[in-house]
Amino acid sequence: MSDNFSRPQHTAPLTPILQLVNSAPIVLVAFFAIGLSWWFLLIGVIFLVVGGFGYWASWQRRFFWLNEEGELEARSGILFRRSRQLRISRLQSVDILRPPVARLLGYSSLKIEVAGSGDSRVILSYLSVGKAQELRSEILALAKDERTSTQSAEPADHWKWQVPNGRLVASLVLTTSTYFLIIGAVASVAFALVEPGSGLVTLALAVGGSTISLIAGITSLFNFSVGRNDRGIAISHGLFTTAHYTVSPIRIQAICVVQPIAWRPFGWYQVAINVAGADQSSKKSGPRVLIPVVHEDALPELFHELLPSWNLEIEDEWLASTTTSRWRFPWQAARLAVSLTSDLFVVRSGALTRRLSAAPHERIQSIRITQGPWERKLGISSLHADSVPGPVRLRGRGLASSVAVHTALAELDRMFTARKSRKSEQW
Amino acid sequence: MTIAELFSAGSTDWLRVNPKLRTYWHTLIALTTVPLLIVAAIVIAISEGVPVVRFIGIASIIAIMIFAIWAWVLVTRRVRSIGYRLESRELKVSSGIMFRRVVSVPFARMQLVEVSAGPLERAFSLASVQLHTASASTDATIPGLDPERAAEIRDALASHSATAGL
Repeated sequence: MSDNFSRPQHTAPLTPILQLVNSAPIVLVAFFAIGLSWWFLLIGVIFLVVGGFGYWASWQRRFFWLNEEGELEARSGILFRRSRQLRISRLQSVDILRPPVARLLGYSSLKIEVAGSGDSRVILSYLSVGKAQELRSEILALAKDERTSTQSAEPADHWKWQVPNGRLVASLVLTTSTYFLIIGAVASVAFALVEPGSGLVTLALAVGGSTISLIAGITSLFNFSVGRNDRGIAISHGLFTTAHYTVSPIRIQAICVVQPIAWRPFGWYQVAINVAGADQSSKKSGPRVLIPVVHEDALPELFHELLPSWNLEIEDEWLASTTTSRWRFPWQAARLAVSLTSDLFVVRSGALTRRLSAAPHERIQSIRITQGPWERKLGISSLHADSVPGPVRLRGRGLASSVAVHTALAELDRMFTARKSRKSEQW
Repeated sequence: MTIAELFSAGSTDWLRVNPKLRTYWHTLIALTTVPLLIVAAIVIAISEGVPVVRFIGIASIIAIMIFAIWAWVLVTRRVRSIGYRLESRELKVSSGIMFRRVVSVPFARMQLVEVSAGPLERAFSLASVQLHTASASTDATIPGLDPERAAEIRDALASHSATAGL
């Protein structure tokens, strides 16, 4: 092992310039706000001098190194010095992030995360790609040494699934934002017929809004791959900023198989997941999608490899919604149903976008029954199985009140027994 | 039969909260309404000659009053709607008049029991117990308890969660 990183050192000398370039959008905003004038030049110069000096000074005072106690120590701060130690033996992940500007110049950031609540991560910006990889493998080697177990810190995938980018783009084009685009286009044509010229603004808004959200979705989920290794399920995706996650299967608390209406002719599905322990303050820190789009033929293999204990083939009876629930859920009443299998609480819902959500009994946190005034008139209630925060929500709606209550009691029983009988899941 | 009765398998002996909660909630309504009314009155007073502002001020006074009276009248029923049961394996809490809800939390899923009493609650010697699980939507809160009773519930829950084995 080289003691390359055992002495305090700076990040790359180009860091202040890269940070300055990253904050350039502020200057652009100023440019659009006041136009090209002496005021703009003055603001630009002040920005360059003050910002440049600030970034340079903070770079000067920022050090990191691997200390003797097996910790990554990071010190920073101009006025208030701040020192943090991350214990490598509790390492959760070391990710190389490559934001666009830095990436062009061959630089990257390194994100080191350890187990623990709150402030348990350090992002080192910026390191040359070679250095970042070197530090990453050194940290991984340290983590491996300190763990008594034989599990390797960077295990090879036993199985891997790559989402074709063409299909990803096609699937995202065929989702909700597209409906808004169509509605917007129709509305603008209608406006244009009534009052010539007025439709353009609506059309521009519709096209602009849905294009932005579409591009955001595509760049975030580009190059999506999901695999299985010794430590769990490995997910990575992203075009400009790449995200890597390793999720132990027991952290998956609920799943949802989703099919928007436009995917039906192609037989495509998405699988969304709720992951326990994902940082709740920012949505980006935990994976929300297990696989963004997959053909129905590949779905069984995917479940077999990634979610072997989740059996969504429902042989048990569905408890369907009542006929009166049509007055509360006009579209989806016919599809609303819940089912309790030996392992799972399953909810079927959605008319246009079909959903099949499921959670194992032992991972449901609490059971709720709710009833609003209109539902009371119709004699129906909603049965909620509460899961950890995430995209999946389990709500059995439109059930006859007595069915909801009996199902809730049955589910509670399973929640008690499931925890006792089931051992922790093994691969 | 209400949903709550159905859910507890037919039995009706839910534990009720302290009726003092009514006075507490009435005080709370008064304490939020009065400053709003004062602000609206000041707006009217300094609005001479500007009919629009005066109109907005009068309209908001009416709206605030309607809202406050509505809330005031409903307090009694709201307090009466709250019930809870400590069973052998779970805690059940039921509440709501228009939008009714019953939540059932198995002791094994509890992560944290919180007893809280704000300054005004302390003045009425009331406390609330809130149960947290890993889910943000659990929302099992029992307001309007005597502090001793709240501590009892907390201790009971804590001992249960220890035996349940997380």
